[in-house]
Amino acid sequence: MRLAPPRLRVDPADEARLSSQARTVALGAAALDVDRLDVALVTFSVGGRACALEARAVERAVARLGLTSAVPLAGGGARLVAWVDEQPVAVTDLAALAGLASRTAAALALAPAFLIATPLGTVAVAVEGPLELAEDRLALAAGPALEGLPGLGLAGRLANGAALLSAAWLVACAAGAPPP
Amino acid sequence: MSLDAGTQARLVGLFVTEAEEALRELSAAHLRLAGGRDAGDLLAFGRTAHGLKGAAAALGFGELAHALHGLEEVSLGLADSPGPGRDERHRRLAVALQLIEQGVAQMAAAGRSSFPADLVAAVGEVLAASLPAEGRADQLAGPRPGGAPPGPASPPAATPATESAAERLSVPAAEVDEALRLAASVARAAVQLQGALAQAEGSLTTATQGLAAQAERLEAIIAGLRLLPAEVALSGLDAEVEALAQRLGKQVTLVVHGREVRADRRALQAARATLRHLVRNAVDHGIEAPASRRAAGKPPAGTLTLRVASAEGALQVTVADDGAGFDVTAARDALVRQGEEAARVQGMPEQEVLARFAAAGGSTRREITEVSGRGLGLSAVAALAREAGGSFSVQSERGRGSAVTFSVPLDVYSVEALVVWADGRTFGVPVQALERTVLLREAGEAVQPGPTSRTLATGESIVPLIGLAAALGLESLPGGERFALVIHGAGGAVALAADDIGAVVAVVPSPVPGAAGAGALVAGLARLADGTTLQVLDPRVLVTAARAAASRPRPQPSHPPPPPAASTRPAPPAPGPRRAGREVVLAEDSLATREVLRVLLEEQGFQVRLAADGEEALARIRERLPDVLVTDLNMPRSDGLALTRAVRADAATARLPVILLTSQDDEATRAAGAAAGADAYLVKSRFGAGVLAATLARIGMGPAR
Repeated sequence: MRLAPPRLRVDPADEARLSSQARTVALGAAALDVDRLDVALVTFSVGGRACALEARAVERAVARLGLTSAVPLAGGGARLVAWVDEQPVAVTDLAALAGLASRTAAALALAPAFLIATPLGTVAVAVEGPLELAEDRLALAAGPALEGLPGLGLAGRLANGAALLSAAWLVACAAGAPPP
Repeated sequence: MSLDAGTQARLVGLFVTEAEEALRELSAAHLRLAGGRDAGDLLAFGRTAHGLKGAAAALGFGELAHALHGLEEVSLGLADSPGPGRDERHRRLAVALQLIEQGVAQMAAAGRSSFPADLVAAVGEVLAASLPAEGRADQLAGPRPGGAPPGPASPPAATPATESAAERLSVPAAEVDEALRLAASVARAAVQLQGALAQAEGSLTTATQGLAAQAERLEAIIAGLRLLPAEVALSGLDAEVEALAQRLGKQVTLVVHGREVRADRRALQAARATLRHLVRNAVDHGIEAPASRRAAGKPPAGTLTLRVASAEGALQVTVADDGAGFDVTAARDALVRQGEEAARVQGMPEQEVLARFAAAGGSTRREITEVSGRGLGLSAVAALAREAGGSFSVQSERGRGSAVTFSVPLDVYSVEALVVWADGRTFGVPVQALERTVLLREAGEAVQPGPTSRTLATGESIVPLIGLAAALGLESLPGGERFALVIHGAGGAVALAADDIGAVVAVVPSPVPGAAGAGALVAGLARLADGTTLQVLDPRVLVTAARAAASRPRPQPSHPPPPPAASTRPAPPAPGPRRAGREVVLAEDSLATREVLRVLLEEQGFQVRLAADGEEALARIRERLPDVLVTDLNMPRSDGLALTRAVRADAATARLPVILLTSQDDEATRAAGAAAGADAYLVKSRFGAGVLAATLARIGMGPAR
């Protein structure tokens, strides 16, 4: 599945507010009032809990990761690798990062994934479906940890209750993900 | 060396690209010089001009090389020229650079195979008035015994390229890489489709066969656009060395290894000028005159060995000679004169002294001259390796010779790897690192228990024998391993036990940041025709890991080893007991491939007699008629087709079954094999124990029992 570029929707009623916010950002005078913005998102689930990530952090998404290979590392352990667009990419299982049990290679092969850029290179983050594009409003800029998924770094919560993952946290974890 | 039109066109294309880059550097350095910058800029200008001169000479552009030599000399004169003379030199250099740029631009635009004669004459004319009576570039490059003229070696006659072959297209490397990936994907899909329809008959099968062959050909063409043979960087070198040696009154034998190594254009470009520096300096200053060599108890002819290898994501070049070696004492003195603490310098190992001298070399002409004039070459090589993110090392023994090694990272590279299986996973071991394969069942007492690991006696050495899975840190118990691969790395040799071995395949591995790449156990990943992921191992890291694993206490299995994990590999044929007298002659010029084939044939119960080319194979066959001949197609002296024809032409050998083995999978080659009289034709990329067994059975040569 190739994600279409997210469409920017501007509600005429919000035009004055957005203009004001744009001026504020341009002047750097005050922090943005993020809890009232609509955000383009990629939605998925982890351990059955609804999660989301800002779409701008996602380079590409695949409906199924396909077969992975465990590449042994010189320092011990291994790193999972899958093929996406004829390129091998390192794989991080978001469920494992969340503190859940690592999935088997067979389960990962069927899992949807999205690709994010990290300082080390592109990494495929395996999630649970359905993987969709959406827009929603941020209800809380910094949320508490998700119950049962203490490992996830959150940026906030959406109006629909889904947990918004911190893109910076995910990039850092994906780049240095521990061996599966 | 005469070159075909296509190769000559590629070489000219490389030269144009290199010249464009060099001219940009020369112009920038000249601007800085005109602005009154320091001697470093002067040296940079001289180095770049010197490198471009070598490239021009290698391509047979003798007049341009002479003109560039003049450019180098005029620039050297800047250091000593008074005001007005200096200004005039700057003016002439600027004009000369413009003329050379104009000529290179014409070559690029019109696909010309030579530098415009009128422009090169104009360059010579412009520079002539500023040229000193004696060549100063010689002093920079080092003294030349006997006052030999400084010009470039007599170039080999350039083969005129046809207009169509000379036409060049400039395309972004990233797009070629993307095309290569897609072509590989199409080729793999076509092979899979062909396999799926193998049972079908009729036009569909024919169509898919054609599709598979065309897709693989497409992949090869695109890979060829990105990966060029090292010959591109080496062409003309033989003639250049011969001419230089003759001029200097020396005898030099040039031995080159790795002409066939394929690497990306950028790396070859970077290596070409540098290795020529090293070769010229080795002939000029390393290898002694015949009389001196005799007096030192050496043969009158010196040997210059050039080794090119593509390994672990880097192009590695070593230039070694059996000459006088570096004067390390003089190098120490030079370092002290440059401000290094004397006591510290005296305590440094020789290798470090030379490396430091190389890094600082060429800062003054006096010091270069005192150390046999070799500072510039070393300095340039060290700088190139450093700038390219590669490595550089010097080894020298006074009176015995020296070796300079540098490496430049490869953007993309091709590697020949032996497919091996361990713990149900598929790995590739670069054949360059492979010394020998051993069928463990037949090893007998060559395998012995040791305090921490088993050992394998191979040839004259005994090496640790450890499971490949254990070396890779995979949790598996020994038991199912049937083969041992003796590989060598930086830390010595080690034997790795693998469950099975398959074909030797040529692949273009892709690095995976954080998982596979330079310095990692796995250098890169590729996919085999059936889609299986091949993890191409880095022999250097692997040997280190294996030796570390061998030093750990061995686990003692308390229960039978588990069944091997599911694998895509074909089930190996059941080996049969050996029956004396069933023989095969195996002709293959690649040592590693020959070793792999030997062990596979031995597993089928054959006694194998080896030959490195067609002529040697024919001699073996005539010594004693074997039961079957397995021969590579492309070999030196006499290739597989010639060998097959010779076998068929002799009544005594005419009925000998012949299996042709090659990496070329196309109808024309198949037809040529059939016409020569081969009984079977096997493609190396699909070759394995199962395929070999099936083919032998088909021609009535089942496992010897």
